[in-house]
This record gives sequence, structure tokens and C-alpha cells, in this order.
Amino acid sequence: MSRSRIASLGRRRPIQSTRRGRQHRRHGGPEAHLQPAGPCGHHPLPDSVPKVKEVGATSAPLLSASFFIGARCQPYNDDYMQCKTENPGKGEFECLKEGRRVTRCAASVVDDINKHCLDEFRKHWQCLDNNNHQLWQCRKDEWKLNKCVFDNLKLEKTIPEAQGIPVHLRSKQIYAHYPALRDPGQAPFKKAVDAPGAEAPAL
Amino acid sequence: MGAVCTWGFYKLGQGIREQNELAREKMWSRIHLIPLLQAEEDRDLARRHMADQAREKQLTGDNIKVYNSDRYVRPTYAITPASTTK
Repeated sequence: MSRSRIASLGRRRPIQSTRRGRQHRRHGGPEAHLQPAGPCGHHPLPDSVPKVKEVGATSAPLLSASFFIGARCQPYNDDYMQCKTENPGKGEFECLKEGRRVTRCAASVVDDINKHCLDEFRKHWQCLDNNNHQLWQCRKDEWKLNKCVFDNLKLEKTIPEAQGIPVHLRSKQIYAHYPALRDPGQAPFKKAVDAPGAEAPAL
Repeated sequence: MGAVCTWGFYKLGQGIREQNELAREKMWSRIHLIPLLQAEEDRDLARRHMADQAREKQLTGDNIKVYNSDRYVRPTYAITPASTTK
């Protein structure tokens, strides 16, 4: 898997039945014909449904990548949600195609981030994991990640309808354990940190 | 006294506004992720449903319509593997 180990951390896998042989022997008799997949084995989707590899990332990497997923995959996401809205009660089956597109798009974003910004990405989501998923505790790592992703993938984090300076660009995070996001001896920032497209603060 | 209170309320207002913005950020990050998570869940539900129907057909030779509607009803019970050890 090219997506590195991050993606496979702690994810569930379809559980394969390994008891087929034994069940055969135990049941033996007329029910034996039930056993092709085992009554409790893993039944994959039928072949008429194209296969798609699940994203397979845990919550912290997803949170870290969420705005980039949103930046690239908004049309697919909107398509899917519209399909779900238009098919109440049967969207699970009608929207499989849109759902595959959503998943492929998100997986492409995670793949690209892993390819170009693995270190920054890892730093940021591990910081989130260590800080109760509080985004404001991890701004330094986030800025580095945002800059790297913008430079390499041209995806930018934007918060729609943000009031004033977008909160992820404020140089002082008043709820963080260490609100002033600069190193000892470093000159104070200007009022806001510039957007990653311009110039990230030298940290 | 008045000055202290004014300063305190000013800081309180600042804090509330920042909280609002942080909440907005969190909501949008979740909005971007929901289709992804829901799509994965839907595929799993569809897979389980189809397997369930196949299993029912195999066992009883017929699929009984349980509900008087075409709506998909999320099953209350799920069949789990008898053994999860490899």
C-alpha cells in the first residue's frame, strides 16, 4: 500500500471466516450447501458493484486533512449529499456510485498529502491525537502542513463565513495552553499570520 | 472597580467570539468529512443487506417482504462472525 502506514493504523478489516472447514465437518448433513461463504463469513458486495478501496485513515489524520478534502472534493461531496437527499430511504443503494467517487477523491487527497507532506502531516495529526483533537493546540504544526499542502497540491484551507481574521490564521490562540505561538526571542507577529498562499511565519 | 469589570467583560467577549470561530472551524471540518464517512457506512450497509437477502433466499428459497414499504430499514440485529480469531 503506497499510502504508508498511517492509513492502516487501527482500522477494522473485513473478518474472514476461517472456520469453514470445521463448520463443514460439524454440520455435515443437509445444511452443508449453505457453506460457500459460511453463514457468518465475510460476504463481499456482488461483482456488479465496482470495488473501491476504503480510505482507511483514523480520526486524527482525517481531521487534519479535512479542509483539504473539502477543498478538492466539494463537488463530489455535494453530489453525493444531493443524491442522498433525493432518495430518502433508499440512498444506500442508489448512491453507491456517488459514494465511490467521494471515497476515491478523499483517498486521492490523503495519498497526495502522504506523498508530498508526510512529515508535516504526521506531526500535525499526532499533535491532534495528543491534544484531544483540539485544533487550536496545534497551530504551529498546522501552518507548516498548510504551507506544504498549498505549495505542493494547491489546496488551501478556508473556513466559510469566518468572522474577522480566520481563526486558524490568528497568531494568538487564546484557548491554547501556549497562546503565543512564537519561539522565545522571536519578534511578535503582526496581527494575523498571512494565509499559507502568501508567506507562512518562520517558526 | 468599573475599569476592572469593563476589562473583564471585554476579555469575556473576546473569548466567546473566539469560541464561536473555533466551533465554526470544527463544524466545517466535519461537514467536509461527513460524505466520506457516510459513503463508507452506506457501502457496508448495502453489502450487509445484499448478503442478508442472499442468505435468506438460500435458507427459505424466498425473500419475504417484512415492511409495507420500499424504504430501506436499517436492521436492528446484525449477524456477526461466530469466531473472530484468525
